[in-house]
Amino acid sequence: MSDIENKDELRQLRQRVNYLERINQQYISTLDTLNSLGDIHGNVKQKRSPQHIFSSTRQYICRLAHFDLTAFLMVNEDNNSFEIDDCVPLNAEPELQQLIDELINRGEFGWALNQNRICEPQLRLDGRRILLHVLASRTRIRGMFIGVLNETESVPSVMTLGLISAILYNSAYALESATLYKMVLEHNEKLETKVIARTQELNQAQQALKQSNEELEERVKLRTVELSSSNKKLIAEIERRKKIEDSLRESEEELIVARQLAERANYAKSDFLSKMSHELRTPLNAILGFSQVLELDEQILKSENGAYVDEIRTAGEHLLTLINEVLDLSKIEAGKIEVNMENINLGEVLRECYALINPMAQKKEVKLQALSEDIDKIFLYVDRTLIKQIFINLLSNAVKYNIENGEVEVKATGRDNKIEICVIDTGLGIREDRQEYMFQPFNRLGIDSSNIEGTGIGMVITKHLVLLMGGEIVFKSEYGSGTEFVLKFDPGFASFSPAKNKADKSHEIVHAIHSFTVLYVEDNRPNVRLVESILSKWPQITLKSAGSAEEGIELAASLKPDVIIMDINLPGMDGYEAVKILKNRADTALIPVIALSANAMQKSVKEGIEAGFERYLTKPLKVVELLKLLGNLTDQVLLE
Amino acid sequence: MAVIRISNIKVGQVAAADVKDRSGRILLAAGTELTEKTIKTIKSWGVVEADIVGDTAEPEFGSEISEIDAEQLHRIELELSQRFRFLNRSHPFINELYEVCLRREVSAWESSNGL
Amino acid sequence: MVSSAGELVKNVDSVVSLPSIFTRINSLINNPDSNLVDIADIISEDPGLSVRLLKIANSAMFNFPSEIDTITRAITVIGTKQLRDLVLATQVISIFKNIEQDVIDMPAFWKHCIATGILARIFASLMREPNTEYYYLLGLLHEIGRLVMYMDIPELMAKAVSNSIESNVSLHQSELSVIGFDHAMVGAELMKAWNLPAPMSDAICYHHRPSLSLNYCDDSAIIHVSDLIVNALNLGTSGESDIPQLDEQAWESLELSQFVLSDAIEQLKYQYDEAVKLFLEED
Repeated sequence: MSDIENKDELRQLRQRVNYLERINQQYISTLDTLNSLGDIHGNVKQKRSPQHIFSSTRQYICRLAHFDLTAFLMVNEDNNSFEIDDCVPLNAEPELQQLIDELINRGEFGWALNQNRICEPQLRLDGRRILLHVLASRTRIRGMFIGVLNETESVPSVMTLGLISAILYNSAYALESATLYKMVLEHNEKLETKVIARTQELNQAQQALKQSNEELEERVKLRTVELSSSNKKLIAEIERRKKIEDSLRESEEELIVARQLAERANYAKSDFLSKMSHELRTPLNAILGFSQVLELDEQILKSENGAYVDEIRTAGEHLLTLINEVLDLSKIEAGKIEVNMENINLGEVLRECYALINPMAQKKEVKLQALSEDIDKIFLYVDRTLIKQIFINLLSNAVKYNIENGEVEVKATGRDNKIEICVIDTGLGIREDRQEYMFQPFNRLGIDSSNIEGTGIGMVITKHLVLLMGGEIVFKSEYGSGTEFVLKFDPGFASFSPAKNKADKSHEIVHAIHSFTVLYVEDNRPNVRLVESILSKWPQITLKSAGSAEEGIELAASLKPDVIIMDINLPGMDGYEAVKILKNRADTALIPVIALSANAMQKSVKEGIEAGFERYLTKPLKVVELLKLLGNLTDQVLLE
Repeated sequence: MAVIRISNIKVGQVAAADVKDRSGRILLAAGTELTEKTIKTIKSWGVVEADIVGDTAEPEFGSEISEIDAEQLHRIELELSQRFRFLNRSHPFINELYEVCLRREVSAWESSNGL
Repeated sequence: MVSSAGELVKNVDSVVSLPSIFTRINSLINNPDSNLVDIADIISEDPGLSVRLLKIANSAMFNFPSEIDTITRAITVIGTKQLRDLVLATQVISIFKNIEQDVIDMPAFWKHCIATGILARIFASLMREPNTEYYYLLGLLHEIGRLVMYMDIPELMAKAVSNSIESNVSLHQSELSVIGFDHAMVGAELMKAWNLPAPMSDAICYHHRPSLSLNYCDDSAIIHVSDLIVNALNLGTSGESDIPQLDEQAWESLELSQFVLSDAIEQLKYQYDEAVKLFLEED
């Protein structure tokens, strides 16, 4: 190899080495720059302001190329326009703005914005080159970098341009961070403000709540006090009422006891009366009965004994009356009178009463005035038995307390839709000062000492009976001239002609006389003998007797009498049971059974009828009644 | 409705569609009147052309609403579905792509059929 | 019998070799001392290329507001680094032009590739990539492997095609199963053979399965998505009759909203016709 060739080679090698060294240096400084890119934006926390980012960026870029002017344009997010945010030198700003406007107009600005690298527009500023580079992160374009190169500078190398591009991208990201950070700070501030405001609101609300809470507590306290006091009152009231209840209960109990006692007393009384009724009537039955029998004997009637018998009978009758009246009174008081209201013909009833009173009146030589014919046209709505009792009482009093040759008159008229009946006598009359005691029991108004008999109970009973039938009774009396009793009753209806009644009376239908058998079940021998003697007057009647219920049933079955007379009070089986048995047996069921009993209590009669008795007769036996009944049952007239 | 180069746009014209930059940032809403300022803004973002309302060089190109009949549309869709058969149609990108392709096919058919 | 993509590439004649101009520009750009004037000089040596380049700089692809009439200006507008990739792009199609055309519809094929390139460039711009031309180039080259395969092993390709129809799978899957390697792998091998940087071959290799790319999955993802969309839009054809599957992770990695789609496609439309004219026209 020649020297020249070696020299050439050497020169080439030296050039190459120089070249390589230069390249190396450039690479090293590039690497250095790239390495410190992170420092550009320095302490991340402290230097987040865009200004700082701009200045750091500028420092680095200006190291790489000689710029006369560098500026950072940022996008105004409200109107999308680009505004100069940082310009160095500052006084070049107006000139810069002009430049920018021109670049935009030429379209070179917009074009550069989309190139993602350093662009050199054709436009120059006084012959100096302009470099544009978009400031953009991956997500958003943030602005534009604009630089004007010094006239001595030619276009930087590709590597330099690349480096500048890298720096500017880095800045763009830093700016984005700064913006975001600012947004976060602002947002935080707003949030804090909101939080403070909200806290205040909350506090206020809390305060309000606390206050209302306290108020509430106060109210609750008051209400509690009110409640407790009203509670106490309530409790006291309850106590009081409880006490009242207790006392009421006590009274109730007492009342119950009292009622029970009263009932028991009443029952005892009824029981007593019932027993007394029986005890008193039984011997009385004998007395009256036998005296009646004796009176039937003509021989006795004519002799001296006749008067004695009469005495006996009278006394007995009085006693009977007394007993009856006492019993009646008790009955009335016990409310045990049975009232059967019906239409009765006044004339008919009065005539019956007259018949009974006549003997008495004749004896006393008192005149019973004849009844007017009108009376037969009058009907009353009353109980037949009771009205008769009343009339008999009044009439007998009228006769009893009359003067010799005195008069008794009965008148009747209709007035104010009621029937008024007047019983007038010309008797002694009643002294004014005694009149108020008229209806008092056992008060004979001063007549006790006289020889006129009376129980003093009659008027009381009469008044009761009148009232029972819904009527009225008043009297007028003048001492010395007489007394007038006025009765008022509801009118009845004419349901049958009086004529018919009369006809019954006047016509006597003669029935065929036929014989029949009577069975008398009675344990009391005297009673049996009484009935025997009564019935002996009627030869067609055959009388058989039995001493006990069982015997009676046997005889009834075997004898088959036409009528059975049954005493209730029998030893062993009583009359009720006996009649039930008789009625249950086919062979004796059809035989009518008459009850005969000393027990005149209403209940007994009812029971008797229910048990099966045809009729219930009370002792002492009324012969007339018995015979009438027998006649009815055997379809013949026994009495005339 | 016509697309005009930005350099030819005049003040007073009205945007027929949203004017967007390349990354989708809306610079001007559809129906807004163009002012000097807004035109400058549009230019600074590198927008090349805009859809303008009113009489322009190009004639109206049919209505927006497709006048294609249902049968033809169905045929197009079938073809398109066939081509898309390897793809997951529910993926948002694929779905968007499908829509775009469909619109293109439809308008292509319309223009080829003189609509 | 070819057993691998690498072998296939080797077998292909030196018909396919990179033009020297590309290598020269490449080294200039890598020299920190150089500036665009030097580069402009090289380009000016090839008038055809110069004219081409000016036309491209003035086209919708660059949308420069005023007319560019000088190479230096063109380089300024295009960008120095970007120029390298753009120059290669203009050359690539010429390389394959002389190949017989009855195997595949070449214009249709290149239309697909151009559209993919433009869309990839648009997405790259949205993602703030400074060198968008790089993605244009990737888009243009991503399907090149298939071209090689059609040239060199047409029967196997035919089998793959019929198999894809029968088995109802996409073509590239069919390539894999029938031939043993797919066009992506072939493309990657070609990149290597051309000594183009590793990122390029990597991106192309995985453009159907971007997630598998270790270092350049973002680039693969862009190509993957662009390819898919262009398929859907039916702009030209790559041999696939239907739209290939989406790698969902790839889409996610782009961090783009699906609503950029219609705007991106608008821009694609805007640039496409002119680009097709410029890149496919005869020299």
